[in-house]
Formats: sequence, C-alpha cells, structure tokens
Amino acid sequence: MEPGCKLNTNRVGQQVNATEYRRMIGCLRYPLHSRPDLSYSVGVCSRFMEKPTVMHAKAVKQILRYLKATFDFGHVYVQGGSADKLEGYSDSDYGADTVERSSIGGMAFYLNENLITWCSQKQKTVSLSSYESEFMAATGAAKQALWLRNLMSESTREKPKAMTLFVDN
Amino acid sequence: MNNPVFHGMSKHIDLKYHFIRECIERGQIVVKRVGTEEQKADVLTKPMSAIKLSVMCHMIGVRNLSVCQA
Repeated sequence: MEPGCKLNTNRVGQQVNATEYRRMIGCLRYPLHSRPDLSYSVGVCSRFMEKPTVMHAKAVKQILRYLKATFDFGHVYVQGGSADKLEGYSDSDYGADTVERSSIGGMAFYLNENLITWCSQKQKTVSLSSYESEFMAATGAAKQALWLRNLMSESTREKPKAMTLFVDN
Repeated sequence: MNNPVFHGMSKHIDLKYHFIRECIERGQIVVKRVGTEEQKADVLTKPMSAIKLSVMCHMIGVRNLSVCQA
C-alpha cells in the first residue's frame, strides 16, 4: 500500500461486488503464512469486507500487482550461529485506523536472525497517546516472548534465558 | 474519576503495565530501545513506499528466491 493511503468506510463511493472482494481477500490470506511484508496491507483491506467500494478494490488490486511482481519472494533461513539467540521487536502506529481511531500493533520474533513468528493487529483498546499504544504492543510482544522462551527451554532442556525485546519508544 | 468507562480503561492499562514490569523484574525479558532504521517490526504497522518496502523486506529476511537459487 502507498504511504498515506487511508482506507475508510466510504459510504458515498460506488460499491463493488462484495463476494468477489471477499474471495480475493480469502485468497490473499494464504500467502500471509510465508510473506510478512503483506500482512499489514491485507489486514487493513480485510476490515472492509462488509461493504467494499472502488477505493478498497483499488487497494486490493495494488496488493495483487505487488504479489505478481514479487512472486518468487520468500523467507531465507540462514544456518549456523548460536541456536538460542531469541530476539523480539514490537512497534505500533498510533491512531492508524481512521474508522475507530484505534492503533495498529506489530511484533516480530527472530531466532538467530531468522524470522520465526510475526503478527500485525489492530489493537482492541483505543489508546490516548502513542506511548500507550506502543506500551500495549510491547506487552503483547512480552506475552508471546514468554511463551516462546518456555517453548525453547522445553525443547532444548536448558534453563530459560532472558530474552531481548526491542521497542522504539 | 467515577466514570466507569474511564476507570475500566485505565485499570486495564495498569494491569498490562504491571505485567511487563514484572517480567523485567523477574529477569525474563530485557527491554532495549531501537531506532526506526533497525526496527524490524516497522513493516507490520505502517504502509511504506516501494523503496523502503524493498529495504525492509531484505531486513526481515524476505528475499527473491529465484536469485538465491541461481
């Protein structure tokens, strides 16, 4: 999606075939399992499945074009290094959702510099400041981090180590 | 102060706030600051221009596999 592209529940715009739109979104959700770069834009577009208009269809079409151009893209996992270097990143965009004014939080976890799990979600609570939305994203990441940390110690049978979480605020 | 909605919301955030602080106190998590250039979760939260997106893709480990195999 282009920077500054704000989708809203455009009530005056010309409506498009909702079934077709939902079908496209449904198909786009499959590549999300291996393409974290798509997860934001598809996530935003899938919020307007009820009454899609030309504006939303254009955004989906742009995603499809991007997907066509980057069809061969995928994750690269690099071998070697220490196997227990687990790092997390959390970020948020305050007030990104123009409809409900809620923020969008994202997190990504890396095991030895390889991306293993990620998430891009609209936050359920409306936050009053960017600090607050950043904090909520960080807490969500912390919960995921604890789970991953326990999973790691279970599989390696070693004592769990402290995990680093990178926050940009 | 007596507004239940406000109270519920602030209470909720308080709980979250204490949770991450407890994790740090217990030594389970170390929180560090990271600049926007190295923030690997940036691509998950905002729309990006083509150039920045390609840089971010490379950073998070999404590469062109046909080039990698060649």
